[in-house]
Amino acid sequence: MTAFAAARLRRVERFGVTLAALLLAVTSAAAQGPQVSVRELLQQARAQSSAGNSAAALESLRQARALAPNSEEVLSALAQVSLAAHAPLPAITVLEPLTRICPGVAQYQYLLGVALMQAGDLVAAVEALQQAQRLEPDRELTLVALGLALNGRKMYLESEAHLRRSLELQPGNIEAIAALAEAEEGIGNLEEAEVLARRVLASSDAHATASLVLGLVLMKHERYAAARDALLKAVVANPVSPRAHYQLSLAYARLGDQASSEKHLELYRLKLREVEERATAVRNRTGS
Amino acid sequence: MRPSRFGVIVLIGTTLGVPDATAQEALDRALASAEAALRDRELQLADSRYRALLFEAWMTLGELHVVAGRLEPARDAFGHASTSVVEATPAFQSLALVQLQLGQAREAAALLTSLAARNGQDLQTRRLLAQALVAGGAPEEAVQMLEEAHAAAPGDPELAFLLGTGYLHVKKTAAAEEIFARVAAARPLPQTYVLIGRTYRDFGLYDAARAALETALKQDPRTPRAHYYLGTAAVMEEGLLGVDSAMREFREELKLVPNDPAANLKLGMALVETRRTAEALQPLEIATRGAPGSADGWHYLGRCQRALGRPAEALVSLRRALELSQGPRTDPVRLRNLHYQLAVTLRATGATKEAAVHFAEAERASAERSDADRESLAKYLGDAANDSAADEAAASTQPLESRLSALAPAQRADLERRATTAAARAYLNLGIMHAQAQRFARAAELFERAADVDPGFPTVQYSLGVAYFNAQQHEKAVGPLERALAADPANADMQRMLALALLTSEQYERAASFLAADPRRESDPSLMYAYGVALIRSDRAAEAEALFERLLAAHGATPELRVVLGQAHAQQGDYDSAISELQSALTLKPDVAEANATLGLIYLKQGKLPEARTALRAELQAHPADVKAAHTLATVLDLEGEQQEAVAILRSVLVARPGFADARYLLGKMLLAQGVTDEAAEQLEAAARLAPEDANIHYQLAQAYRKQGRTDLADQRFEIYQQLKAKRRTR
Repeated sequence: MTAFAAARLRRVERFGVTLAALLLAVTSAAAQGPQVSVRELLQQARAQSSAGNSAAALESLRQARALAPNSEEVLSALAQVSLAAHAPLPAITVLEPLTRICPGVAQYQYLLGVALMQAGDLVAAVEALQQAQRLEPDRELTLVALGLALNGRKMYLESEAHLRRSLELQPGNIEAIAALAEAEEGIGNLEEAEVLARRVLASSDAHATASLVLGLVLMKHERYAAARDALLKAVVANPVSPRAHYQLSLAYARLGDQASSEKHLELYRLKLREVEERATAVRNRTGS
Repeated sequence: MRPSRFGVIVLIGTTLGVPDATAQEALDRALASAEAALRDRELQLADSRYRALLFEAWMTLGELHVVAGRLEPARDAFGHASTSVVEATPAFQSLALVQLQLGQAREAAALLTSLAARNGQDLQTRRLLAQALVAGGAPEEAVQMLEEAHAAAPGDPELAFLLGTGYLHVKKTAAAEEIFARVAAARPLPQTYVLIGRTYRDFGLYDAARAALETALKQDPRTPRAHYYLGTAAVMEEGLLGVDSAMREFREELKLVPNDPAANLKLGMALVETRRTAEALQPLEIATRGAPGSADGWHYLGRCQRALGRPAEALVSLRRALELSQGPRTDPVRLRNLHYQLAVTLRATGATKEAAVHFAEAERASAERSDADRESLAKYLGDAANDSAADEAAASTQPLESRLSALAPAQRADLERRATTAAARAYLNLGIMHAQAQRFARAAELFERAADVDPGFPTVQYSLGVAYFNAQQHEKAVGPLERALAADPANADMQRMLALALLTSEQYERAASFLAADPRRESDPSLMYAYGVALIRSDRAAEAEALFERLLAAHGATPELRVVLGQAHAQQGDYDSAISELQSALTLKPDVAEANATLGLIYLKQGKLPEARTALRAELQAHPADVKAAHTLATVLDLEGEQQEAVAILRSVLVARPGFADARYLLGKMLLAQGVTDEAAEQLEAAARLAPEDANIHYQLAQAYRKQGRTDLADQRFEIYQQLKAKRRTR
């Protein structure tokens, strides 16, 4: 069919929507409507979220959930607001059943993967993201998240493949390039890792992953002062990363600054413990 | 109720939403509540409530399958229930129970482990988990799990009882006795002693069992189940020697609960075994009415009927027993006996050929296992097994019980119909809500589920076809639309949609035949156009030409038609006529879709760049989502030297449609010209993957590689470019 013909036909097809709407025939006995409208609570939550008031939005959504505990839209909104508020545990609590009742929706598996990653359960995160990838192959966001999660599990070769695919689909994606830099560093391709990290830093000076990768590469090149500077930027950009603190501790040690080295070693232990505690909390919540 | 060996009251679906309501009432209430929300346009509430209705419907269907002994459909139903709602613990528990029945102890244990981890306080789940672990051959693990739970809640008598049972499994009898004594002290009720007595019986500790059961009867002579377990214990301990004593106990039990299916079954079985078949008939009839999923019940009823000279009825009963005995946990002794009984009965009715088949099957079963019948009798009449893990699993083959077993067969059939209808209706309306929100693929999934549940449900095939059609999955739309049309052959809308689905699925002849018969075709230029395309593609060009002439004569004033005709002229290179048609269309309807886009393309081909830009901007103002018009505009802007805007437009086009090869190519080419070589190469690589036969992409990519100094790659691309060019020239 020609392009013109196909375009024309697509327009003809639209009448199907009207037919579907006609099917909505409800016949059973009347019942009272809800005292509080779930629809209005959702609208209210959206407005509150747009205004930056996550706490109020979450409260509205909790009320909506109490009224409509199985509503996909309510659960999805609750998960997204929780994630935006960096509250992965409540998000996971919602996303786990959501992925069960809507098993074919890649977006929910993706969000679950992101939430699990935020909470530090990388094993479960990879599983969820792989499921998202199976459901909707070649979605850039999923590929990047999968790359990040696999990096976290030190599965750099697998990560590299996903990240390269994501960059094929969306060339120039800074997050994907930064994650790829991390994968290349993990594989041992230091030159490639440095090029990629510097490419990210050229457009996003304070990028946490790119700074970390650059720091790691410079450490391997024994350029400790430069490594320290890059790693300092990494911990400022992402203060919860245990790895950056650990590397910074090493850099300070090589530079003879024992006090700073100890300080960051302690911070590394603290952050690691926090990550483990979060992961345990997730496993307790999900039963995984 | 049938107690399992791990103290679990194996009652499927006990935790259904409203325990005091009948299943029918629960379904009706869930349906009314969902539809009220829909009427109020509270779509999120309706969504939630339809899912709750699905849960009720699938739980009911699962229970009905259990009652009928259909374990695999029951497992599927509980599986569906578990994916219907957020809080689905009862569905998971019921699913695990059925898995245990099917011998899938590991699957059940995995499911229950996850469930128990999520809710450590859920005793029912822990009980089931213990049962699954034992059935899966891990009694020590079960005991460890129960010890941990008991340590956390030492005052919980149910948990303590479970732990005691666990100790019996691992042969720590003294520990079990101690803990049972504490349980009895905490709850000194006759029912507690019945539970303890039954548990001792299950583990072959008959003296202890009798002592506990007699204590219960001493406390209250009307305690249900005490006589029953005393009877079964007698047979389990002494085999046929204990049958008379057992029958006395069963009769005592029936004085308390005359229609109890289990006691009637045991009494009937014992009477058949002692050749008192006339007496056995009534209790066995009561048993099969009350528990129609019991293979034993039908088996013994069949034997009884045969002995009473009623071969036709016997055949029905025995066939039912055989049907219920199929499955992964089939007992070869029962199977051999059943085949033998069937063979003898068939021979008596003159069906010698069929009888021979069953004799052969009986012989085969005999060769597979030659256990003493006496042992089997003790097992069937005793209602329990020995204490090995394998027998624990085998014990699970006895039918689970449900409150729905109290319903008469006709009531169960009616309830099944209603639950099926409720599930189909819920899926259908959930699908419609998605369709209304333009999520057609999701809608189609739900309509598929509705069609799986009830393929004949009103409008389901039609809805499925419409959803696939609108989800652009035309090939999938064809089947449901054909089925819908078969049910409603006069429906012109459906015929039309089927015709268009066939057209897009390249089934041109069939599309043409439907469109030829479409009464609206002559008045609808879109349909005439589609018909014309179908005619051309099925080698009927002359008819197509005549049709297009008629189309022009009849609908010349329609703006949409003028657009189509303008596009047709443009395809043939007649730009003057095309422009004239398109401008007429715009005069009639200034925002008619694709008119300005087509004009823009024509002006571009004619090199009239300012006119092209104006037309394309007009198209995008009226239809901002038209990515093809946006791409054409970017091409025009590039030629005019406005690369910055062109690049921005192309980036947004690629966000909307990442697989748009032409847009990737153009962006790559422009970036290359601007010296942004690395990204240009990436964009062109992506374009080459999307459109590997496009020679120009390979040429530009070769240029990009050359600029990057990757000469080998550049040479490869040039070679591909040359090959594609040569191929094109050959064509």
